[in-house]
Amino acid sequence: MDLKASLLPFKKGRYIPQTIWALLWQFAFFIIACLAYIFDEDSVTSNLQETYLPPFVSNAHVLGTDHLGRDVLSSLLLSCKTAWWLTFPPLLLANILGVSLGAAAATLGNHHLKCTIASLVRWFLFSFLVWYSWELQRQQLLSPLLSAEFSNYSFLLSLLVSWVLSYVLYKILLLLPLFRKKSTIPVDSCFQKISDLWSTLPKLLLIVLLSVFAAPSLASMVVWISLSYWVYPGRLTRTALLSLRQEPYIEAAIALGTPPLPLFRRHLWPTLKGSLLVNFCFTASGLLGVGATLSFLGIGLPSAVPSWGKMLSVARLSLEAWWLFAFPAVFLLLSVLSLQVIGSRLSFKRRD
Amino acid sequence: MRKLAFYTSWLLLYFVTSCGNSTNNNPAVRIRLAQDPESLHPINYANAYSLQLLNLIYQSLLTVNLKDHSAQPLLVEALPTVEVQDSLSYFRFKIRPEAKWDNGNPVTGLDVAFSLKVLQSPALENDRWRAQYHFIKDIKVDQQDPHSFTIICSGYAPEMRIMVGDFFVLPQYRFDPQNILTSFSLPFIRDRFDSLARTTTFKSFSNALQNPTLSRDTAGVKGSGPYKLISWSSGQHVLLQRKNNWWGDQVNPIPTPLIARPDQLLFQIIPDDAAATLALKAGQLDLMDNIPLVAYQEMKRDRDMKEKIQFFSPATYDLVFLGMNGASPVLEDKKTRRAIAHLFDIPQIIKTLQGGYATATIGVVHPTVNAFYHHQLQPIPYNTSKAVQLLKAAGWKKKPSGWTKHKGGREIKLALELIHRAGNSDFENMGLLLQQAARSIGVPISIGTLESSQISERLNQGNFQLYFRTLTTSPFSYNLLPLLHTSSAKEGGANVTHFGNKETDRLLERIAKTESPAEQGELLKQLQERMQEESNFVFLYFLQNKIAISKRIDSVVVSSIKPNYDLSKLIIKKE
Repeated sequence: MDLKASLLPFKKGRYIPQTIWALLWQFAFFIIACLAYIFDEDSVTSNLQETYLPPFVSNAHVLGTDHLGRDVLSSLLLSCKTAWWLTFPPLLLANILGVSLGAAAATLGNHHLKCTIASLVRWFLFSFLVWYSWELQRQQLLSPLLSAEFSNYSFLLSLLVSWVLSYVLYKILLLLPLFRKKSTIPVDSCFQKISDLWSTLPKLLLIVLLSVFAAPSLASMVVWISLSYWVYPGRLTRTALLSLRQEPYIEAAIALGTPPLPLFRRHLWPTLKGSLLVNFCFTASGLLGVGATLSFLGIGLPSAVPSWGKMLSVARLSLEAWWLFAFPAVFLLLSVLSLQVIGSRLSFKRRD
Repeated sequence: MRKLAFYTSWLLLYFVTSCGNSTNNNPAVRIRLAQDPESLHPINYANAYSLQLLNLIYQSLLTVNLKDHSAQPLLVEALPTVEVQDSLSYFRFKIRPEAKWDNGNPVTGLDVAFSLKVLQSPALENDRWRAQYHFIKDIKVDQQDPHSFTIICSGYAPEMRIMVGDFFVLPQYRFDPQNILTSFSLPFIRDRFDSLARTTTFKSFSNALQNPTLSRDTAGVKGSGPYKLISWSSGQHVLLQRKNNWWGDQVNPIPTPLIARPDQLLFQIIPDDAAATLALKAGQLDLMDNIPLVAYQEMKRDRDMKEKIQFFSPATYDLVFLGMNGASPVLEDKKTRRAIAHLFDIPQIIKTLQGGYATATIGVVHPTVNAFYHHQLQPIPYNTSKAVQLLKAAGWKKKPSGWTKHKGGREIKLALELIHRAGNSDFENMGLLLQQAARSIGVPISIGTLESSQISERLNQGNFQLYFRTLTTSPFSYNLLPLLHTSSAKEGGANVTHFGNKETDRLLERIAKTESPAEQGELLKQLQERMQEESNFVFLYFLQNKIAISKRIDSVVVSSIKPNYDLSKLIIKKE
């Protein structure tokens, strides 16, 4: 859905100001998140001589300071980066994952994917070895076994070893008739069962549970959020594709021998993207809240990473230091609201 | 419609105002608990909050005077007479004749013997009790007067005068109605611990002892103390009520330790500090301790609050420190550890993060204990240039990628990990300050927040470099062998920082044995010097508790002994 088209009805009516404000806010949000890389987290330094400075008192700290004498404005801006990273990349990844799985389920169904048992064993072993070497890497058990030159590449080395080992096993297994036998994988049923199971768990709880498996970091949170939010885009894609498959123009394209990727890009994606985009906006607004909740609770992020949730968590201890609560709350509120407005606008546009 | 809105608004206003301030004539003293007690079993209790409640329900032979920290008789008539013969010491006690259980039976030496047997028996997971009371060898109850008995201990140390009477005396009729332990002597149970653990008798006794009735039922949680459990709603409240015909009222004149004034004690369980502070401000609590600094300072500044609440900040023996793993390749040189110690601006931390409610220290002895504290030893100052010098002296070389040195043919990098308990804002703040100071000299420190059990696991395995913890020290005992002796540095031992050498081991052994306070003071000062030299610990400060008590409560006694206030002496003012 292009921006120009979606802005057209604004000329007639009531959605113009708020949607433009929302887009402007999101644009500013994105720019601030990018600029945060220029002055990194080191710029928010503690200064115990200047704790709890109120706003508009010091030129060096326009929005005041917190309990450690850190500049509130810098923290707010750096928190934009954290909020952005906890919202858009994981949601994009979740959508890619969901759309891929949903498309695979709709396309392959329960009868179209066949492979040998040896292949299955090979990929299972490879995945297990990758996970195991990741754990060894995480617990720093691999580095002492390697000389200093190789210790930096230990994970890449272990990937290579895992691949070779699984390939060798695959070749050996192929010698046995049992493992050469092809079996059918019910992709659609598997997808539905897993997505049913996944959607029964509350997302916040799921992220909290998953975050136990890795040390707190922004990167790990991106992964956990992606893994928690793929279900809805996946189901949306599957349902849309199953209904579209019945359409005559799709049947004609298939009959003409259009390869799967161009078929998806030219004929299926234009119908699908509207629903995904609307869902993206609403989920992103929710995710901003989830990210703030997690950092408020002190889950998933290292204590040195600034975030709105953490600022709010500090603010609740002091009723007098209103600026510690007000500014992050306003930033969070406006970011959530702007995404909701954009989502609503896109949703209206789809109905129109 | 307008009328409806009008009446609804008034109705809402009525509800809001009626719920607002509850400073009323509530007969109970309302105390905030930060955590559910979980269990009120006198042996297998769960946490410090359970112990606080158990001290009101059960009694020990001796107690401590909260003002001067001296030992005082509680269940017994007087302090024990002590006789030391060769390698044994004899402590003779006599239980007050008035002391009775709830069923009217007298408390006797047989109950004390039973309690000691339970502490040493394999019936419970009681490793900590066995270790703590290992010095008690036997107990002899007078055949003629069962109120009199002698506790026989191996060796003698000054702290035994309190420790020998510092355990809950349990009613045998309730905990062992079939008299199973009567046929076993204390030495027999101690010596045959492992074999007895496998017997069916002890297994069934163990099951009976772990009956949930004894740990949370109003009918089962009953001791000789002045209060009984009336109700307990997990996560919400615990209500204790003073017994009507408590034996302590018959002692004349009534000694101070037996004074129990409030009729009811209502412990409100409010884990969140902010919520508890609001409850205190709304008059829904009479007593709250460990108040967050900012809230405490704001309340002290607030004129309305000053009219309603009295504030106290007694010193505590809770010592906050940074521990460093001396066995870690990057921290095995004491100059490196000393360099890290120079990264703490302790006076500024105390002033800002603790609001001045903490006492700087150079060691494990509280600075107010003048006889034992080394006042001539200066604290390690905040000095980043000195830290850089020390790192260079330790063989580290500064490169663009950071500090490195060669060790065992490999290049190692000075990058540290600090772990601390999740949710502790003091540790989190100090971690950020340390991280910032270390970054200014090019040492990266990553911070890991973990649950207590995970931290203990990593400390026991030696899988750590730096950690923050709070150590609750005792003003009665300076037996630091388990914490600092090199024999405790093996896996599972408490000396996780690998502090010590032969010289410090000898010092520790002499400190534990000596009876002369002067000699103990001299030895403790030497130990404090050695500890600062080795720098396995950076001692930051002793905490002060921040307590707020409603002005409707009178006769408040605060103390440095936990829980830092004496509930039994409180009086509710008549309005």
